[in-house]
Amino acid sequence: MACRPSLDWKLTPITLIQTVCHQHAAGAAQSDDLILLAMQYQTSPSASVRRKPAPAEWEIRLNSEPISLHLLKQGISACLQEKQLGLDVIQDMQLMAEEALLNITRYGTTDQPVPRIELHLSLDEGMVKLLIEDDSHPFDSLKGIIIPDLSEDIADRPVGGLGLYLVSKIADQMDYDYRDGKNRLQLCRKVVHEQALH
Amino acid sequence: MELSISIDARNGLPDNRAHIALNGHLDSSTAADFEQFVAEQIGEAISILVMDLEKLVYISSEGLRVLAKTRKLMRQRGGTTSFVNPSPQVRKVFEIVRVAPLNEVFTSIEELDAYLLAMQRKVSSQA
Repeated sequence: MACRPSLDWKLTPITLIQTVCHQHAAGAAQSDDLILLAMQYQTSPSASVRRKPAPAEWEIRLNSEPISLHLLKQGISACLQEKQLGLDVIQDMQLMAEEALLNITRYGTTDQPVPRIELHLSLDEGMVKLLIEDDSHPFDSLKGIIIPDLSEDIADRPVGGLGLYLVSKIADQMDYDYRDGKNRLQLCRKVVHEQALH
Repeated sequence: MELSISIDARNGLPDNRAHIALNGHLDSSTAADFEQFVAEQIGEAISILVMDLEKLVYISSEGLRVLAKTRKLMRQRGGTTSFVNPSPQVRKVFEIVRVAPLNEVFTSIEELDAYLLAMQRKVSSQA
C-alpha cells in the first residue's frame, strides 16, 4: 500500500509527485522506469492569472488623485473650470472620459491584483488632452469603433457601440499605443472650434 | 451627478398622453433609474409619450440606450415618443447619433401640440 505524504500545499505539482514516488518506493531498488510527464503550473501568489475585474474593482486616479467612478465627471469639471473652459468643452471631455472608462471596465481583462486606470487631464496649445492609461491587456479600442446605420431608427439598431462612436465624433484627435504594460489612449478636443469663430 | 424625473400632472392632458421632464444627467449611473421609472409609471394606456429635455444637461451612450428602449416599447404599443427642447449637449448627441427624425424633436410644447393637431387632422381627413 502506498504511503501518503503529508501534504504541503507549498509544493509544486512536480515535487509533490516525486515525494509520493519516493515514499511509495521506501528505498527499494528500482525495478522499473518511471516516466513522468507533468505540466508546470504557476501557483505562487504573484502568478499572472488573466481575469475580468468587476467595474468597482478598478482603482481610478485623476491627475494622480484617487477618485471614484461616480465622482469622475465632477472631478473633470472642477479641473477644467479652473482653466476657465466653457461648459461645452467640459461636457465633451466628461462624455469622452465616461465612454472610454465604460469600455475598459466592461471589457478589460488584466492580471494585476489591483487593476488601475489613470487619467491625466491637461491643457496644451489650445487643446484639452485626456490621456487614459489602464492595466488591461493590450486592446486598441479605436479599432473597435463601429459606425452605426444612422438611417435606421435608433430603436431598431443593435445595442452597444454608440459610446466609442460618440467619442470618435467629438474628439479632434485620438491616439492609441501600448507602452510599459499599459494601454494609452489619448483623446484631445480643441478649446475653440473653428466653426465657433464664425 | 443625479437625475430627477417628474411627471406633468396638469389637468387637460388626454388620458393617453404623458409628459415627463428629466432634470440632471442621464448616464451610466442614472440610466437604470430611468428604465425603472418608465417600467413603473408609463402604463399601457399611454400612447403619446413626451419627454421634456430642457433641464437634462448631459446624456451619454447609456442614456441613449434607455431612450432607445423606451422608444421601442412605445412603438410596440402603437404609440409615439417625442422629445421637446433638448439642452445644447443633448441636442449635439442626438444629432451625432440621430436619435429621432428631426420632425420628432421639438423646440417647445406649443410646437409639439401644433404638430400633433396637424397629425390628428390628417388622420381624420383620411378616415
